[in-house]
Amino acid sequence: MTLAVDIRRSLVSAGRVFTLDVSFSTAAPLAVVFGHSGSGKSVTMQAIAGLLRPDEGSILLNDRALFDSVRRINVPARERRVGYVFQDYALFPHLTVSQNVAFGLPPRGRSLPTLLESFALAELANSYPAQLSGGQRQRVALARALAPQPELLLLDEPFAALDPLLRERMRAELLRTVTAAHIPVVLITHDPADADFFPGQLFMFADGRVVESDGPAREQLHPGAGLP
Amino acid sequence: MAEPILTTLLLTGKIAGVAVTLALIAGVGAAWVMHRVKFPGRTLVDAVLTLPMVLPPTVLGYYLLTLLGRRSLLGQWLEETLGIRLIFTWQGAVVAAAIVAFPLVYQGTRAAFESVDRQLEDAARVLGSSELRVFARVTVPLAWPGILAGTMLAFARAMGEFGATLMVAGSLPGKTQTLALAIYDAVQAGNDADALLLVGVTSLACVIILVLAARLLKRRYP
Repeated sequence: MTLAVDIRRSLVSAGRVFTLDVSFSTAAPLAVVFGHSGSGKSVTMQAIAGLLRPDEGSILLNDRALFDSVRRINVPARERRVGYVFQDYALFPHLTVSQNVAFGLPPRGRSLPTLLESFALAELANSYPAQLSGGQRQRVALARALAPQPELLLLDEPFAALDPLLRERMRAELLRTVTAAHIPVVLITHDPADADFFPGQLFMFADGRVVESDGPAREQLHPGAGLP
Repeated sequence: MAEPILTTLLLTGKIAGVAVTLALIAGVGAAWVMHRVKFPGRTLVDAVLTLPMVLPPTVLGYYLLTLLGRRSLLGQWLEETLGIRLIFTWQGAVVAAAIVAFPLVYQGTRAAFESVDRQLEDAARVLGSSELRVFARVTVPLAWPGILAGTMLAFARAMGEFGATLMVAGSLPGKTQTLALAIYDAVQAGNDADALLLVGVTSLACVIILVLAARLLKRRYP
């Protein structure tokens, strides 16, 4: 997988202008985007998914232009083949687990029962999201996002909605799942523990920019560690 | 009473039912456009769409008479090409009731659309849904309680419509005389017993509508 993002976008919120000016590219199967809230991580993910239109720039996925302001390309979200797991999962509250997972499943796609089975959701198939635990909801969100077999999976703060004890277990489970799915992942987080746990390429965001990547970014996670 | 009460009740139900069906289609459509399309002058359009709720019904009646009367262009066209006469007919009463009922559907639906979590609509888009599918599978099911509540209020309003209906359709027993108009006629003629019966029937019908609405609203996902 190759993902190349080079976008600019001005956002006005509460009278304050925020300028996103982000440029990075990765060919890693797993990329971690780390930064504090308000650093532009989520906005960047929304732009990749097609939920937010940059003012200018380009987004290339496997050499396919998803967005290019010069060539006037803006592929609609539904045709991007980019999976998205939202921070609070955004499960459809009026649909059951199996209806949620089947929502993006193409007519001649994978079989729903097999999919539910592989995410240990078979017994919850007829439950509604409100009846599930945090960990179960995350599995439904993952199964739903992976069902259409996207070319890229975006995970927005996948552990923020979980309690700390569960977080540890779900990190390992998530890593197993996305590795098994053979779908490249971009994970965004503000938790240094997530950035430590996930082995992929690391990008650090601050004030709407990519400030460090990889080696230097890893050191930045623990600023005091190298000092005597 | 010139007509049996059942005739008046059925006529009222027919007029209100057809009127609310029209108001529902137009109200949901208008609410969706106003919710999804940003254009200059939205506030003005919103005010105009809400106007029938605040204007005196007689003002609406006057507008309708001027717009749809036999001497107006639209009225002549309707009569000559479609054979529809709206003045002093039950169809005219439907138009009057639909227009006063419309803002209740429109406002209720618009508020319901605004209350749907936009992230859920985005989730559906990312999963490959067209805008029509997002609307049908996510927006409407989640906004449904609000749409239904607006529709029920609109039905009650259409049933009770008096001023505009009287001006456009008159109060012809068995033809255009709804419950609200029959009550007025009965009181004017000094038929207190008739008036009491009609008032009772109207109140009962409204209570039944409200109880039905509440029961429909309760059938929710967990």
